[in-house]
Amino acid sequence: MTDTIQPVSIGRKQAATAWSRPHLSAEEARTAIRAAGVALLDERRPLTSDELADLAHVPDASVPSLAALAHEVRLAWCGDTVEVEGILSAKTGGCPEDCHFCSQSSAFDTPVKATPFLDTDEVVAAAEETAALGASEFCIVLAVRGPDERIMRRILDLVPIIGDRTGLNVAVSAGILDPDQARRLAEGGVHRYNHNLETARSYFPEVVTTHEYDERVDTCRLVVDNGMELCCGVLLGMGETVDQRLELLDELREVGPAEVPMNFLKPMVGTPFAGRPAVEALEAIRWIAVFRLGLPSVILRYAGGREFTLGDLQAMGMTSGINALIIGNYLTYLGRSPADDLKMLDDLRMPIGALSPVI
Amino acid sequence: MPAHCDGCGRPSAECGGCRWEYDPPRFCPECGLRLAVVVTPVGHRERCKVHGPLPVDPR
Repeated sequence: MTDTIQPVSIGRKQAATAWSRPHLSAEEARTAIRAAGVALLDERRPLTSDELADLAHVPDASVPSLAALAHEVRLAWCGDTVEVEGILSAKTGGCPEDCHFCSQSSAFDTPVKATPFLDTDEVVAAAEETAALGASEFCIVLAVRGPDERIMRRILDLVPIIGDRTGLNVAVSAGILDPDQARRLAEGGVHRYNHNLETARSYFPEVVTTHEYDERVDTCRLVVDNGMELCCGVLLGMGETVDQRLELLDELREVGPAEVPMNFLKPMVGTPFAGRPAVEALEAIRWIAVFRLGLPSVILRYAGGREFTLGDLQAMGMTSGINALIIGNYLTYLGRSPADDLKMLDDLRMPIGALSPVI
Repeated sequence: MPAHCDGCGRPSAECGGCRWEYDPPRFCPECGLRLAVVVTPVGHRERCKVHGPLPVDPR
């Protein structure tokens, strides 16, 4: 027995991210952050991969300075508006793909029971809920490898109905597309198509074995080539290294998304990643900032897992480069109360509105 | 007291409630069967194929 206070480990397991090189010194970090500010704010030029790697390696004590620069860059490149979006899993579970983080894969025994495509009235009601919260975007999400003809027809029926009834921009996430499907969705009024890269090419085989990374990249290119806005998200905390996060950032810069949703792993019961530890809150802030600095003009959206990872630090993310959020619930689990998020934006004096990519 | 945990479906004697605050109920509290769950932006609803819809949760 001692009379000193001993640290006691409680709560969630925290992830120890694998670093391949030491952190910068405090002085090196100050220099790197200053140089990034000059590049992005004065010269208006994108950072190089090496500059981003330096920023990813600032010490913990420098993360708030990094976040402050990311916020300034977001304001300079995108303005102060925050885009709010609601999402709906319109067809849940039973997916043939084996994405190891996903509770909707039929490859794993998870608590999520497969449910068929919701009726039109149910989808429209969810869109109306979203519009009532002041959102400008509504995304219909389907747990499929890619859309078959029946699903294509349902989507193409729904998009104009939702647009007419709510005034919302309609986004769709329905997996891998072929060229004809991409063309039809674009012609059918789909504003934005979501197809995530999720992780680095070099880590992807640890995450998915039922399709290839290039199939995802190909769909991203089809989206852009057909004139839809590309929403291409990431999921951090699956066991990837720091170098692989930087590799992912480079991949994203290559595919040129309009929007990047930042997801943090919320381990799902029954999936291979159920036991993965949480991304630490400060690490999440670091990577939000690094992604903003690497993608200065994108719509960088708070997405799944933020409640799990950031807890009470939601406002800090909003001042670290985020300029969009998913409001309310996610696909299979619940989110913060919309009232709390709307109050947070009001407290931060961040107006809500629609965003489009900077040309 | 419900007969089953709505987070994992085990009998209440074995699980006193493991559902995370951001998870909707996934198992019927009466029989422990998996529920059909629809999550929308501002709500969620659950249906058991034996016991029908669960009471609306304010969350």
